[in-house]
Amino acid sequence: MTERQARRTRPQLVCVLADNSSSMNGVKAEAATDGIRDLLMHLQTTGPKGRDRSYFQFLLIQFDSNPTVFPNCDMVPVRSIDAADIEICGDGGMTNITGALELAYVRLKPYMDELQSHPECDEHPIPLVLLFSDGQHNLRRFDAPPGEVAGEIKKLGLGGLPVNVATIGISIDGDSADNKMLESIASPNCFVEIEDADRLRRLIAEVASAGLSRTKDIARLMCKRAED
Amino acid sequence: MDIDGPNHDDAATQVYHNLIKEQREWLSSKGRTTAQSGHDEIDRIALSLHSDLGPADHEKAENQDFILAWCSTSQALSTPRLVIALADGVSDSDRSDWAAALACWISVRTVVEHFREDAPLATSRAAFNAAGEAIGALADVITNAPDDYLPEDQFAMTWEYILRMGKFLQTTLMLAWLDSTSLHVVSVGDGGAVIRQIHNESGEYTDRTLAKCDLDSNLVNAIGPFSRRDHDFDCVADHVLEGTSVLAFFTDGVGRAISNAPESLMSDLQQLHLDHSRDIARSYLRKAFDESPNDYCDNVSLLSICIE
Repeated sequence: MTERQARRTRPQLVCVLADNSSSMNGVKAEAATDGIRDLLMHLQTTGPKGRDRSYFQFLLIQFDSNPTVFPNCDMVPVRSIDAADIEICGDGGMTNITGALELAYVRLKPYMDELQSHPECDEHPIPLVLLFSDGQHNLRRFDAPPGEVAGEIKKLGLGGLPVNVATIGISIDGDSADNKMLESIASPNCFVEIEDADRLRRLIAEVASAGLSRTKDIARLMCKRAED
Repeated sequence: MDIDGPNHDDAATQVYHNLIKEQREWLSSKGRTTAQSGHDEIDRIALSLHSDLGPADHEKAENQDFILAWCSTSQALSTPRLVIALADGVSDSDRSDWAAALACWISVRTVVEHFREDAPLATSRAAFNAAGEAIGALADVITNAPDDYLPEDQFAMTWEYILRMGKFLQTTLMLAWLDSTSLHVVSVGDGGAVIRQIHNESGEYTDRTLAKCDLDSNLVNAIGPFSRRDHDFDCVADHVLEGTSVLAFFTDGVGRAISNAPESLMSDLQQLHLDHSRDIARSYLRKAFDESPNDYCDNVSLLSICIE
């Protein structure tokens, strides 16, 4: 039996869920902004030339109390996005991780349903969801904890491979993320804790731009990059 | 790619076209050149080459490969008999078609000009360094005035990223030459090279792969603005010639299509040489596109040589 191989020319959907709560303000928000910009520019410069030949599509959700899709980043080809327009400010309110995951699920479900009937679905890359946060999910809704919604996302998939959720806990300047929760919502071994702003920037850019579809490959890369 | 393209005013375009023109004129004064598509016969050597965008509907809109052959018209032992170069511009890299063409012209000229039969590795180093330095000089023209070269459909921040990361003017390069006794092949990148040594009139032969495309990875070594000198070669091969030989050099567009199993390719080329076909490389590729279009999803370049 051979492993499922994604074809490079089919666009991969990369979803970034960025914590924009007030505790991110300062060096963490700057690193997040730089990481997402580097990610975008790497994705833009991968593949043959031409606006309509992007290998990647992009969804950016920033979340505080009310998660929103970032303007012009709603599952669009990466080459239509100006990286200079991306900025995570850390000027929001509380941290609503459940809301961010629900918004991602609302986007992913119809997308994956449509892919199931695509003639090249066996070769289509699996979407990647990358979430990073420096705090606790503190806008609690007892009917939908983050883990439950993440579980619904991970049930989506193609050809037996699930959508992957990778998470980064940001513990910089004495702040401490809810690493236990972040690890529980991630796909197996796809969580890392980061204590350094530069490493955060590089991890966002490199993991989300790697074009990987298999959980074990994403896990291996995250572990390696976290140690570099 | 049209090396006699439109006469733009910008400094980089002028530098590029002037460099190509200089190499072409110099090499033409020492022998005969064939670029991108054509054939030549001299002494007991017949060659045919063709570079092609590839079948319709694949992902690339332009041909980023370049292929060049130079034949000596002199009997002097101080020059090689034949020099060929094959380059595949990196797809993720801006202006990689320029890099491919420049690398071929510069490296072939350097081999002819600085040829030392007793020192093939030193000859290789000189050629690759010269190609890398020429690409680097062109890159410097662009990076010294980045706003002048911002592509029309590109964002300014992304263009600055491209220049900062060196994601422009990158190419693979395969270089090969014949001296009085041997074939020498050196490459950076994923080009392929095979020699079929035909032993006797019964047609028995041995195929030897001199350079192999790495089909397991989309990553490739290349020369470019951040890799100008002292390259780590992916292939260094020397082969003493005996009797009749058929040679094939190709970019990975062909290597992937034949899955690095060259026997069928070599047999087809051998037969075309035996039939004294003139357009061997183009004929082979066109037939291959018709028979297996889905196997060819990239630019393709092929050079075939028969030595008797």
